[in-house]
Amino acid sequence: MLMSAHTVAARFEIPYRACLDADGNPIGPLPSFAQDAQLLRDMYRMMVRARAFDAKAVNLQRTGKLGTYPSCLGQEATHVGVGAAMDPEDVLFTVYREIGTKFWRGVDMYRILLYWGGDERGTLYERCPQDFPFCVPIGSQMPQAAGAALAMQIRGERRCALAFVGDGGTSQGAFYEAINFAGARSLPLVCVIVNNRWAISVPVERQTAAQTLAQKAIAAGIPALQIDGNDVLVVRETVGEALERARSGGGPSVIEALTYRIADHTTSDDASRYRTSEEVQEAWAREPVVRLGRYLRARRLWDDAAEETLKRECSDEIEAAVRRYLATPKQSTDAMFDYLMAEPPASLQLQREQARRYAATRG
Amino acid sequence: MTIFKLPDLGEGLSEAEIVRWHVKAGDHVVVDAPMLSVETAKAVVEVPSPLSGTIVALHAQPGDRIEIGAPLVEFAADAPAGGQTTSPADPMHAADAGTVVGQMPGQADEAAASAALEAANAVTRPRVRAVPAARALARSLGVDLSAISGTGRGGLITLDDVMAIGLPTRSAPSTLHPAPSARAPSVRPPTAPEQGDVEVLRSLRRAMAQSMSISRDSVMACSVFDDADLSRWRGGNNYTTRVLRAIAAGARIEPGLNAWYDATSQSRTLFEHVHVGIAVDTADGLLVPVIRDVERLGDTQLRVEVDRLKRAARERTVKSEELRHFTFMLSNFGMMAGRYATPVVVPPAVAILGTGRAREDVLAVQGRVEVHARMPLSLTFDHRVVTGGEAVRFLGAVIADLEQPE
Repeated sequence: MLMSAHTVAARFEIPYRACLDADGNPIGPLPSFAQDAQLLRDMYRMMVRARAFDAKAVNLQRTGKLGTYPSCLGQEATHVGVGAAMDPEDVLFTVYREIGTKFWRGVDMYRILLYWGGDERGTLYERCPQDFPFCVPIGSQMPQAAGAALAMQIRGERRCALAFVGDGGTSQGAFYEAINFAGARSLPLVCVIVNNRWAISVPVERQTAAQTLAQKAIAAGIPALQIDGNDVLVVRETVGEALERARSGGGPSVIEALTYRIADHTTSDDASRYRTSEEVQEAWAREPVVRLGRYLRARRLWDDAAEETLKRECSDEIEAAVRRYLATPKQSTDAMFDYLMAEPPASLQLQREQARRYAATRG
Repeated sequence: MTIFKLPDLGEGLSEAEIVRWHVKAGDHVVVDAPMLSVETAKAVVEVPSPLSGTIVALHAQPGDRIEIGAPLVEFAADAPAGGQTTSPADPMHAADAGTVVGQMPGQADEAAASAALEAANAVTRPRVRAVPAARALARSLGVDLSAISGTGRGGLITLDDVMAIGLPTRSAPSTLHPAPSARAPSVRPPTAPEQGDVEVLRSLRRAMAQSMSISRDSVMACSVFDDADLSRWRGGNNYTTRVLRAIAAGARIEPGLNAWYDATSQSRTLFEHVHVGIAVDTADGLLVPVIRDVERLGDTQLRVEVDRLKRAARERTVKSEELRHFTFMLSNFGMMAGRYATPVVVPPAVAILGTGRAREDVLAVQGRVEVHARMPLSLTFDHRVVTGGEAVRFLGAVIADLEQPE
């Protein structure tokens, strides 16, 4: 038998981390911030707030008051945990569901409604003006985030770009290009892959032959790990560590957060056509909001009265945001053109004029 | 009173079907409570109540397909419009479909509104607005979109609008392939889309539309015309059986016309037996029953078989296997009217013979003027696989056989 001499050129392993089990019981020692009761309550409030707003947004679409809307139901822990881990100076690149992260960074519900209502002013973030808007094209935020990280590196700033990408997004060339560049240049970039198991109707098993999405980072020379994305404690801890390492020159990280898209892909989708109700029932048993609620109650940091108060506050805030949104006068058609380029080329100026004339005929 | 109109529940949808109501007239509902399920082209979705109030009337039944923007539910709102419901004065949403508006959908109002819209469009519409499917259909039917007034939102041209113009109803198809009807195809003026009933093609007529389209898109049709002189015919000759026999005679001389062509494999099959499909005009459309082994049947057998199949076709008792696998086709259109035509080859067959109305012609015969009965013949062949020489030799053999006394 003829055999070539061989040694191992490289090996890898993907660690998996979690803090709480599905019922909210600690699995091992908790991160030190778990002693901060106020932070825990704030994260819980933000998750409930995102879920309540999300339900209202779906109803607004169903009654013709909002455009197509992608629900975040079931993914609140990943979104809120990332927000809680970031510094205000960091720059956020989202996909299109991460309202929990946007809320944490100070974006108002009103802005989110404007955005999905088709109003450019929905991307005006008063408190985090450098954050990028929602990114509906799949994966195109990744090179932008790497570019922002490069700018931070060149300027010698102590901050970081954080980019979300979906499980489907990791199949895009833009994803591979961005993490390759980040690895090669040791950029301050943290990429959080939100693996919610479905890219519209394509299950993650059909998306890739890899055992994990995190291991795609190995090829880019980037440390990678997988976490329970329905456990806000482990999200906050893991993303916080990665951000701190990046800010101090330690280079990029990729974190795969395992969660589940309980809702349809968007309001234009009907997921019952391609997945079983059993699968969704199982996902409800692992969902993040109840889990954290149980942990807080077990530690006597939360009770029914607090829950009632929170629900009333959310309801009032949502109602006020909806009222303000519905009362906002429509933008002129100029808005479609004004924020694309500092100096619009002749072709865009022509289109802007045409749009004005068309709008005038429509009243 | 407040009317809730069906919103666009997907992205650019035009209609939805009511699946079921969770409420009925007289019910009191609160905002966001489940109200009904509707099915769109994309999904079954739950529509919640847009406001808190009492339901006065439901404007659609389960199973109804209703257009986006059509009135769906009539409410008596609990409180003066405000809060998260919209009021007529709402600057952003009052005019949008799918929002709550404070006006009864009186038919006169609607008509006046749409007339005003139409007038406005006539003056100012910069370009034709049509849904993509309507544009595609208009292209395939050769319909000019600018001649249509759309009935959709804001004058948008819908699929129905194009079909109303582009698909003539109760008129014969424009192809001459089957016997042309005595009624001329009526060309409808493009300015009257609301006149007449739209008929969705079914069964035979739909099959004809499909096979004619396939023929148009694949066959390189070439037609040649001539006449058979019947002056030597003795009594007792049957028009159809003589033509069938003549086709068999033509196929003996030029088997290349009694054949199938498969463009995918670029191969043709020549047949020993002659199975002639005869176009039969029925009330429901064109049927083509097949006379098998024409070359082996005698005149009497042919006549019996032709009569049987024509009757079966008109009574719609013809079996499906009697409608398949013809190797040549005959269109006997002259029984009604018409001398020559360009009959349509139906693949995989490669030729079709049309016989026009026989009549007496004034001829020059050896320097003298004579009057002879003649049968006009129109042969169309698929020039991808049949040469012109083969076609005219075939036609010559058909004529020679037809000109026999009996």
